[in-house]
Amino acid sequence: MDSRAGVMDGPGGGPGRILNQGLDQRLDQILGSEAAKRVLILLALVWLIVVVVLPLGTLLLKSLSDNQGNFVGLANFVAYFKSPSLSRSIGNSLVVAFATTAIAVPLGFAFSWCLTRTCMPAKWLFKSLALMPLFAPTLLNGIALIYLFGRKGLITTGFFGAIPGIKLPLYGSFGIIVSEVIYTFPQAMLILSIALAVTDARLYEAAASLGAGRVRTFFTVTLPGIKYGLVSAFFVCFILAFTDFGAPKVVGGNFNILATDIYKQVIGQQNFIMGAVVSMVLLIPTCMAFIIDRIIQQRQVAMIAAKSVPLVNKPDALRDNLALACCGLVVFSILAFYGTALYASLVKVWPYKLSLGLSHYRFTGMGGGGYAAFFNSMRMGLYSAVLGTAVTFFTAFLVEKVRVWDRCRHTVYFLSILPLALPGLVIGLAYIFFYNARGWDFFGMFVPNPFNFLYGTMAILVLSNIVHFYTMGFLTASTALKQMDIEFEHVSDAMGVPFYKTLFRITLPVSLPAVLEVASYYFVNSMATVSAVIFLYSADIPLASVAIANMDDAGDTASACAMSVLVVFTNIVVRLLFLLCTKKLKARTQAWKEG
Amino acid sequence: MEKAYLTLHGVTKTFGPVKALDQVSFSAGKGEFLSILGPSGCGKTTALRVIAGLEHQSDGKVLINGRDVTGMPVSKRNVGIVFQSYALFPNLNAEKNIAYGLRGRFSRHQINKKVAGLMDLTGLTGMGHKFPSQLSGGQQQRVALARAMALSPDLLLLDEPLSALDARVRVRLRREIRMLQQKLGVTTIMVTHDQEEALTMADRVLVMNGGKLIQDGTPEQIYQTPATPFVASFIGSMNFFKGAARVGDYSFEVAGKTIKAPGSSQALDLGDADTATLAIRPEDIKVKKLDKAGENAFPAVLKTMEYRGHIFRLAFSLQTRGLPLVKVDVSGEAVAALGLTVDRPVHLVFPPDRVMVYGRSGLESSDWVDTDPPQAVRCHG
Repeated sequence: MDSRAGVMDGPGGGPGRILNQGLDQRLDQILGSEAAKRVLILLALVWLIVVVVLPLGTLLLKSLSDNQGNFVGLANFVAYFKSPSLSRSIGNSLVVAFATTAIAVPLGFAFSWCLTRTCMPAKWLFKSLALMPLFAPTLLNGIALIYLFGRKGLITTGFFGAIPGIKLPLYGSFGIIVSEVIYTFPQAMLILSIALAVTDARLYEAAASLGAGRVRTFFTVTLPGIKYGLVSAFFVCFILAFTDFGAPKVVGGNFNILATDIYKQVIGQQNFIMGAVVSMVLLIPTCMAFIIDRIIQQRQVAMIAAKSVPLVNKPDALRDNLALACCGLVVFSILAFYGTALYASLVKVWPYKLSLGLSHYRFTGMGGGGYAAFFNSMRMGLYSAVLGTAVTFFTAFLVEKVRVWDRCRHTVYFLSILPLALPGLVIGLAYIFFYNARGWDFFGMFVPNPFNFLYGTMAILVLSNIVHFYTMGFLTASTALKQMDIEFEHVSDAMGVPFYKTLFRITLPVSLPAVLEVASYYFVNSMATVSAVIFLYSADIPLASVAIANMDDAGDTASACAMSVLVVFTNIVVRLLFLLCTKKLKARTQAWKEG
Repeated sequence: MEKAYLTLHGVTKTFGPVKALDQVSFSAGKGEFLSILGPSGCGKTTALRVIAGLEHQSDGKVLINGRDVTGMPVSKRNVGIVFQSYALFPNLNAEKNIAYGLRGRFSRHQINKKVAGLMDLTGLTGMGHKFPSQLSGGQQQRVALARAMALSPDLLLLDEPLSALDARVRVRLRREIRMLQQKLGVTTIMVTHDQEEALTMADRVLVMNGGKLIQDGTPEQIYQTPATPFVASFIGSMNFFKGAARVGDYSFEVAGKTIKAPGSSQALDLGDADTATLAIRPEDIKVKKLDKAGENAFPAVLKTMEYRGHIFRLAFSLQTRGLPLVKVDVSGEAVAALGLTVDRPVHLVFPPDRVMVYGRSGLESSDWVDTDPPQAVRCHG
């Protein structure tokens, strides 16, 4: 009965208490209470309102106002549609987006099918190499194309006259579509390979036992199994291609699309109102695609409840070699593409002086800011990674695990998903309008803008990145959190342990891989993005991606290319570091990961 | 029974249009072990969650130790919970899992002493540094139990604590949990879908169905005198004869024969009903040779024989249209002694004191489980 005595003196049993922990406990009581949870969810809501709703609202308001700020209804939109030089871009953007999707999704499907349904060797290598475009600014896709298909490009000149050249109409829809396909292919491939990987092997065995052939199995098992993945890949590619700014900026030529129109209106003509109008025009199809995708994805929930048996492929020499050839071709194209860019950045004077050197990496006498810009971008990437990860993870935690105040929680969820539909340029322009405003007149009363101090600082750049890439981080964090037993919180509650202690002792350590994933995603994308920040950077904080755009504008293509290569290189190093950390982490936590 | 330690007064819980709990009232004495038993979706888990404070009832009151805890969050109720999934923290070893709720409330020395005591008590000595994934299912269960007991809760709540384990471990842990519970004297409520678990472990069993409490009694009462056909069919096996014509106060007509059932107290509830449902357990029916008939005896023909190890489950036809086969359990010895083979005619004797009688009121279709429930029905209700 000794042990019983030891066990049974309850938490209220006086002598056990330690005096100096009284304060600690009071703090626990305050922070662990329902009221504190509500306050936190409210804070998350306020945060999302300030960084998403209010800026977008301001943008919408601007598109409905004249230059003096008077409400003019749809007059600006009427003017827009009356001017064919502007409204023609809608069709152009749609053509680019549809063509890109029509190429990238089947390509992504074929590639991921080879990765998941064959015994092709070195799958991990092919997969890693195919992800290259994710690390590059899309500006670089355009620049590399110039070195391949431009007037003095490798292909156009037939490797500087070695073989007959091929002339292709680079500037315009062709160049944009090729760039966008390269940009969106890895996204489609990733989504589809996840969808293909979770298919249940038992379905294949059942089909085989019922005498279904390869074709029938493909149409009755494989395709239905990944239909949600296909839909998702379709919309992701569409939205990315429809809203991308980098590649069209470089190879668009006179082929105007919505994204470049916004830039031209705002930067070229200083016509902010028309910029807002085009932004709204860009937003409508994007939001529609986003909403349709969300509705379709919601139906999926019931389908993945049962446990499935992983598929083990049997070797088949012909199929495996064909797969190897196809994937090899794709990966070779990607490598050749970026290889050309690397080569071009090292060549002294393309195409006349082909000796190699690092002269383009000096950036002396160039516009754009040189290495200062590069290091600013790294700083920005780092801040975005740290703060963005903290904010997205904590929001996801509040939505998934702190189950109070459902209506507010659902709103936070919706506002966290919404940024996926917001093109960077739209965020950038909305931020100009909202954060640069001195204040607002409410019924004759002037209210100063409390956030105005952010304008023109590093903070607003980081903020725009956090919001621009919010959804992916949020979804990654919520997926990781969803995989954890919801009873963890209940167990802690029952023991009177406040939720934030469980967050730091259990939830965070267990989801560390997801946290690292989110952080590296933030860093890589913040380094590469140009669209949101091109409106927000100030002269004393130049950025690498903006420098690329400006150097390219000024005709310093080789230096722009060199800067892009630096960005890609940095991103690959960061990604490798992430993989290394994850591997170490996995080894260390092996004991509690199995089972 | 002592003064009630836990009391539920007319507790109702609705989820939208669904009534998960419908006017549920019961109480438990200090140190008592109660088991809530019922099929999937009967409301038993909701009842447990309302007691725990993980859900809040729409109506009614919950009292713990005389204190109304309605609206009080789980953290204030001083309850220990063991979840079906155990919910052990994967990144903490067994020791740290058990100490989780103790941190910050006791000194390191006291915590170590308590944890060692609990590990000893649950037979986990030497396992302290293992992570949950390195422990067997039974060991994980013990860690969950030790963790729930660490803060000396007023109430221990077990939600299907054994359903994730394989049969052999389950049987052993039943005894261990019961012994531990008696040793610590903690009032315990266990939710289960497993009748054997409920009958062997609990002091009292509450049978629920459709959000309602159907019967509250000791395991013997529940088994021997099930209050409704639902309880009768849900616990153990039962033969039912629906629509038996009433021919006297305590006598009914089935298959052209008269059955007397004077021992059944339910017969009083019949009022002036013309018919009733009779029920008898397979092990209560006696099989006799044809020439040894007597009171409550029916001529019958053996249709199937099922070997179940310790007994034979026999199915007889009463050779009357519309009557189901009669299930009878007999020992292997009896089968040999009677020389039973398929198609052999015999007499079945229904001892009058073992025949249960149910009036119309207990016969709503929702209240009825018509078949012999398989022993290991999985239920996560």
